[in-house]
Amino acid sequence: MSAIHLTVARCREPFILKACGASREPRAPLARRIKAMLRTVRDVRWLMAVVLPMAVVLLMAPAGAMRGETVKGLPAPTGYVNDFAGVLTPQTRQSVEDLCTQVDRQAHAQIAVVTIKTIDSDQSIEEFATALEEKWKVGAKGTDRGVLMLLVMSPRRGRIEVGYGLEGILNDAKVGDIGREMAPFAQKGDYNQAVPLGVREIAGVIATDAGVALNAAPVVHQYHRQPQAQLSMFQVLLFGGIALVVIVVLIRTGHIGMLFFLLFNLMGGGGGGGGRDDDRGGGGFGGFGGGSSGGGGASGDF
Amino acid sequence: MKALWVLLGVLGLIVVVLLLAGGSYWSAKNQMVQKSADVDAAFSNIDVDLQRRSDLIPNLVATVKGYANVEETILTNIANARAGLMTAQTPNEKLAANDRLNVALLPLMRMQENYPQLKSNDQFMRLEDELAGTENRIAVSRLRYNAAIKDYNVFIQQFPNSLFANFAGFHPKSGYYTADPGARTAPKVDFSK
Repeated sequence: MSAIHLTVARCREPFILKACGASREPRAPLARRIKAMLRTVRDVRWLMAVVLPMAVVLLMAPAGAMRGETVKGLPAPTGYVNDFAGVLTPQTRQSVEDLCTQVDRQAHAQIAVVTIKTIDSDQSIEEFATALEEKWKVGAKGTDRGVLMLLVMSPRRGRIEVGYGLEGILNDAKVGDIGREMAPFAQKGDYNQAVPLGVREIAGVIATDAGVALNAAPVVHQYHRQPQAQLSMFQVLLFGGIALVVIVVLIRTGHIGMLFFLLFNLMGGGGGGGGRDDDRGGGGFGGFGGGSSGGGGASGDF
Repeated sequence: MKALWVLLGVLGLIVVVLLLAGGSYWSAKNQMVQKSADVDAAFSNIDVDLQRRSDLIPNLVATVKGYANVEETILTNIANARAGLMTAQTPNEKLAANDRLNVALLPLMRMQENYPQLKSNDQFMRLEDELAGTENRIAVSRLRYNAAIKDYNVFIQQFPNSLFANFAGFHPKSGYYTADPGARTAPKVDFSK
């Protein structure tokens, strides 16, 4: 992995150098210099369009080989059911998705189902589940009503991790019972039985507690995408360009001191807000909210 | 006239520097307060988990007693270890007391191997779930406690903050809970057995 990072970094270096070199053209009028800079910026952008996909492909390649999964290496959730091990049929997937959607809508609790082939050897399923919950944040922020059902194929092991907000109704013993009910099916490798059974049980407990009735009718999916706080390439280039122009102007007009003043000012103010960094659970699927768990739940042979 | 301008300039510079320093101190101090409180909160989570575990033990003892003949010394040891946990005050004392409790519980947990009915008893299985869940909670909150301490320590020792930390009365915390002699002997509740 690190070797690939290195090669990517090495590929990029020449372009950066080129960009710097171009902007240092001696004695050109300011306007022409800015124009040249913009041109190189366009060049870089074009090259990035080629290089980035290549880098992505390179980085993805080892994931295909699939040894042990790490939480870091898992892709972002695409729905309530994330069948990374590929043990569920589309029908099962759909029906469980529907059920989870209803629980989310009516009882305001989120259930995530994750199947993976195998865990990176030096991690226990408990650690993996907690780390995954920390990353995906199943459940809504504040209420922490989330359940994460994690199923590992080899060695076979299951865990149902319960968020803080549901610990009261889904205590470890109850979750353990659900796991034991799933175990006979899971042991036969019949996850198409085990998963719906387990999710139905969990959903039942949540629904009863919330006083709602879950009907089996399919619901229309409305995954609202969350606006992403990431800056687009264009924005980065725009702001970078403005900053560069300001710096160039300051240097040309001899106000270098101003630069340091600005710099100090930024440093002084930095972190003053103490802003909370709410790391949402990845891209596309906007479902999971910001819940957290403290390691509650049960693991077992399912 | 020129001297006046120079004087004004110098004064302005001093004011600007003071403002920057003051603002920097302000924000650093607020963050230190926040991080210090985070450490305390992280520990209180461990505390809750330890308490939870301690509360489960009478149930466990009662269940095991119903099936097996438990030696009196084992029970006394457990009771003493539990009492130790109750009286412990500081984070380190509490964690040490918890380790002693782990050791005291060991014989009780081993008994299930000799009593198959106990092992297959619903009540006992659920109790084991709760215990295992609580063990895991303790592990998780311990991890987060350490992370909070590290975050705090790193923050107050980083450059601009390190100038203010001592002045504001924030010192590195050493409650780092890494050494865990009890963990090696802690009862592992294992479903596969």
